Amino acid sequence: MDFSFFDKIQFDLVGVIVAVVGVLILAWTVLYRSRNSITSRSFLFFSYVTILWGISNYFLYKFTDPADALLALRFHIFLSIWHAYAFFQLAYVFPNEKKELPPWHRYVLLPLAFFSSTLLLIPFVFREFSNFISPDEAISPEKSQGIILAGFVTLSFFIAGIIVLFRRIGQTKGDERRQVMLMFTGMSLTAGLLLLFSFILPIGFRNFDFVPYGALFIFPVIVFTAYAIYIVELLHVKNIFAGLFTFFLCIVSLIELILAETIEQLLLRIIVFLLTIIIGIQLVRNTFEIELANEQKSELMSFATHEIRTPITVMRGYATMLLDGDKGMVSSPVKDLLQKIMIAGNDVTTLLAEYLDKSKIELGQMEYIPTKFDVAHTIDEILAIFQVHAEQKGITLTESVGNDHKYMIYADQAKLKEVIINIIDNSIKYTPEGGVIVSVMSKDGFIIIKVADTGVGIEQDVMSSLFKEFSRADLQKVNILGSGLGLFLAKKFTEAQKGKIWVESEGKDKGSQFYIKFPEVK
Amino acid sequence: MSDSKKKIMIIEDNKDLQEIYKHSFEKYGYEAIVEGNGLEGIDAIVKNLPDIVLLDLMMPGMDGFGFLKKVKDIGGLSIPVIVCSNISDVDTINRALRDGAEDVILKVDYSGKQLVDKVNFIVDEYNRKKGVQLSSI
Repeated sequence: MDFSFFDKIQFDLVGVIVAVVGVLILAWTVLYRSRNSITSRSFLFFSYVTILWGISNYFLYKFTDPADALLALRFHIFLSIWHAYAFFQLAYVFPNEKKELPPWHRYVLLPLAFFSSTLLLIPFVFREFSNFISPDEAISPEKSQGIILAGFVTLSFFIAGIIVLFRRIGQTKGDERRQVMLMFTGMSLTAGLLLLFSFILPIGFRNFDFVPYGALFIFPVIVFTAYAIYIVELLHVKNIFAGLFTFFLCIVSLIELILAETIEQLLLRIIVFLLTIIIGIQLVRNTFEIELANEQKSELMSFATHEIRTPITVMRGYATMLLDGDKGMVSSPVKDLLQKIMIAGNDVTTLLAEYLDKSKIELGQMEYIPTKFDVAHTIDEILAIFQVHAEQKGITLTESVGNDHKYMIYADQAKLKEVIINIIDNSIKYTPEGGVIVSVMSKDGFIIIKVADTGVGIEQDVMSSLFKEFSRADLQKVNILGSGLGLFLAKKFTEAQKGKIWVESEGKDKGSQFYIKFPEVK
Repeated sequence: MSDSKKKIMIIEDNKDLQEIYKHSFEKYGYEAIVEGNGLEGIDAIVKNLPDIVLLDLMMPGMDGFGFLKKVKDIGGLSIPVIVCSNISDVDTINRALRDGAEDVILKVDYSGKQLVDKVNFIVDEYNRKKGVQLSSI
C-alpha cells in the first residue's frame, strides 16, 4: 500500500473507520455501565468481532494479487462464522444481567464454531476463486464442501439467533419486551442493508460500490442493541453527551488524518487520533463512574430514609392509638407528651425528606409526577394534620376556601403537598400568638394559595435570602429547629412545575403572607 | 346503600404496622384481613375477594410488585390496590402505578383516621371513575 492511498478522501474507508470507532465507543460504554452483566460482555464480544469483520470486509476488495485476496477471503469467512456465533450468543443471553449458558453451548456450539472456522483457514477446503477478475469486483471461492459447511454453520447461527429473539418477543413483557423489540429492529435493519447492498445490488445489478461499507451496515444492530441495554441501565444525558462528544472528536481527528499531505503530518495525526480515542474512552469511563457513584449515593439515601421511616410510622401509629383513647382514657399531661412524640416524629420525617430531596436536586435526579387535582382537597388533608398542633400552641388555624368551586391544577400533588406543609408549618412555628389563615382563590386563570399569619414577620433584608439554602428568619428569637432547607425546596419544587412562590411582609412583628400560584386547569 | 362492612386486605410484613392498620380500619367500620407477604395475599385475595387491598412493597417472599403482577395475571379482579410504602422515589411510584396500583401513599404521612380517610377518598375516586354507585360503610 503506497502513500498515495491517503491523497484523497476514501469515503468507503471513512465509513468503515466511523463504524469501527462508533462500535468501539458503544461497546465500552455499555460495558462500563454494567461490567458483570452477561449481556454487556456478550455485546462487547459481538462488537469486537463486528469490528474485525468490518475491517476484513473492507480489505477484501483492496488486494490486487489473487493469492493475497484468497488469504483475505479465508480470513473473512473465518470471521463470518464467529460473527454469526457471537450474534447467536448475544441473542441467547439478551437482555439478562445473569444467564448461564447451557452445557450444549460449551460442548457443541463452541467446538462447532471453532472447527468449522479453523478448517476455512487452511487450503484443504477451497484452493481458488471461481471468479477473480479484478480488484473491486465481487469475489467468491470455488464451490466446495467446505464452503457449503461454512455457509451452513454461519446461516444456522444467524437463523438460530433470530428465532431466539423472535420467541423472546412473545415471552417477555413491558421494558424487557421493548428491549428485545429494539434489538430485533436493529437486526432487521442490518439484515435488510446487507441483503440490499451486499447481495441484491452486486449479484443482480453488478453494482459493487457499497460492498466495502459492510461494517456500516452492522451499525443499526449495534446502536439499537446498545440503546436497548441502556434502557435498563438508565441512560443519562451526561453519558450520551460524553459519548457523542468523544465520537465527534474521533471523527474530526480521523478526517484530519486522512487529509494528511506529508508523511510527517500523517505520523503526527495518527498520534493525535490515537490519543483522542484513548482520552475519549477515559472521558466516557469517568463520566460513567461519577454517574455510578451518584446513583450509589442516591440509593443509599433512599434506603436509609426507608429504614428510618418505618419505625417512625410505627411510633406515630401507636401514639395516635393512645391519643384517640383506643386503649383507655389518657390524662391531659400524657396527651401533651404524646403530642410531642407525634411532632418529633413529624420533624424527623420532614428532615429526612428534605435532605433526600436536596440530594436529588444536587444529583439532577429530582423527578415530578404531575396529575390534575383539586388543591382544596389537599389543603383539607394538610389542615387536619396541623389542627391539633395549632391548638396545642394556642393559636388558631382556619381555612377560607369556597365550597362551590373546584381549584384544579396540574402538578405533582405530593411535591405541592410538601410545599404547602412547609409553609403552614413555618407559619405556625413563627406565630407565637394570633393565628394562621389558609385560603385558596381562583383569579385571572390562576389558582392562588395564600398562607397568612400574625407571626414575627420578616424584615426586608432577610426577605431576599429567605428562599436560599440554610436560611432561617429570626430563628433564635422563637427557638426553632429545622434543616433550613424547607423554603429552598419549596421554591425549587414550585418553579420546576411552572408555579410561583413569594412572600410579603410589612416587617418585624407584622406577620407574613406566603403565596403559591399555579395555572388553573379545567 | 349497603349495610355490610367493607372488606380491606392489608398486606404488610411489619407486625406492629399489621396491628396498627388492622385496629384503625376496624375502628372506622372495615372488616380487615391481614397477610404477611404477596404470596399469602394472592391466596387470600381469591378466597376473600376484598373491596380494597392496602399493599406494602418491600416484603420477604413475594414483594408488592410480585403481588401486583400476579393480580394482573389472574385478571378479572376489579379490586383497587393501594400501595402503602415508605419508599418515595419516583421510579418506584411510577412502576407501582404502571403495574396496576390505583394509588401510592407514603406510610409515614398517615396514621389512624387520616389513613382511613385517605383510603376512603381513593376508593371513592376509583368507584366514581368506574361509574359505580358509592356506598358508605
